[in-house]
Amino acid sequence: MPDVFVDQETTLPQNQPKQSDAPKDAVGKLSRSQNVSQITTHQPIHNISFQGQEGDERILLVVRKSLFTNIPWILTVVLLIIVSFFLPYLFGYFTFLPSSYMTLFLLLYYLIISIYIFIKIITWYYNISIVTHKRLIDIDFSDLTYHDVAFTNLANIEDVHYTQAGVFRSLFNFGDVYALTASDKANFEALGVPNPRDVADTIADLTGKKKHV
Amino acid sequence: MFDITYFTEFTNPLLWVKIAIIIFLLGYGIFIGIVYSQVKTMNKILSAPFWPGVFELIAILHLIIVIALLVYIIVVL
Repeated sequence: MPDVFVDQETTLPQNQPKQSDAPKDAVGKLSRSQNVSQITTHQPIHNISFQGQEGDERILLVVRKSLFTNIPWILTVVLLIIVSFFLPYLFGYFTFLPSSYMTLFLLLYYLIISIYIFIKIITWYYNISIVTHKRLIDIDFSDLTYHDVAFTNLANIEDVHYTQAGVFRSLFNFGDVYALTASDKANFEALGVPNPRDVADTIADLTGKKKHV
Repeated sequence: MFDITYFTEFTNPLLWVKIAIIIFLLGYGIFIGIVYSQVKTMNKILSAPFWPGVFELIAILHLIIVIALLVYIIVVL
């Protein structure tokens, strides 16, 4: 006999969590995950806090770019250091300069390399996304004179998805996670994060939305 | 009396190299100052142990090196 009315709750599959239970389930999944340390970049979450954090707000995830995303600039630095070995030969053309100036130029060259490394490290370090049981916080530090901090409630997230394209990303297991909100401008993106599937899955569980690739 | 050696000094290429390095180091010092202030700001936004303090220290170390080089160029060279 066909059902005229079926309660929506009874049609849910047994293994699908209800929205009210979602944060609890996501925390449980995180504690079970073997890759949590990679997602959180080896830092204990309880030691991290952010400006505007509420008293009872628990940080569940701290997502930073994968260490492998630093390989291009590390290669650049290696190249610059190799070039520095040939600089004394170049100085041979500037015969009017005393040797003390040559040493000074070499010192300035290494100083520029060191500040380049420093800026790259702080850019990596401060580009961070934090997932709490209430909100999603996206801290962008893309430029020395530009930083952007965006907050959104988990309830406002409409869709979560991740992309993992390319051999390099598949090999080292990192990709981009996107959390789309109703607003036109406030879309959250965590680019080049390790274990994007786990991150997207966790956010999706917290918001009660399904993720898709 | 007008001293002509004042002008002949400016034809010395070493002097111009020296001036160029001083200008570069002054600009570099300002840049490090901006980096330091940004690190301070970010440390207020995101509080995490150990590393932020190290970042501030590295920025200060760079500033000290720049000041030391400036003193060396102006006084010694």
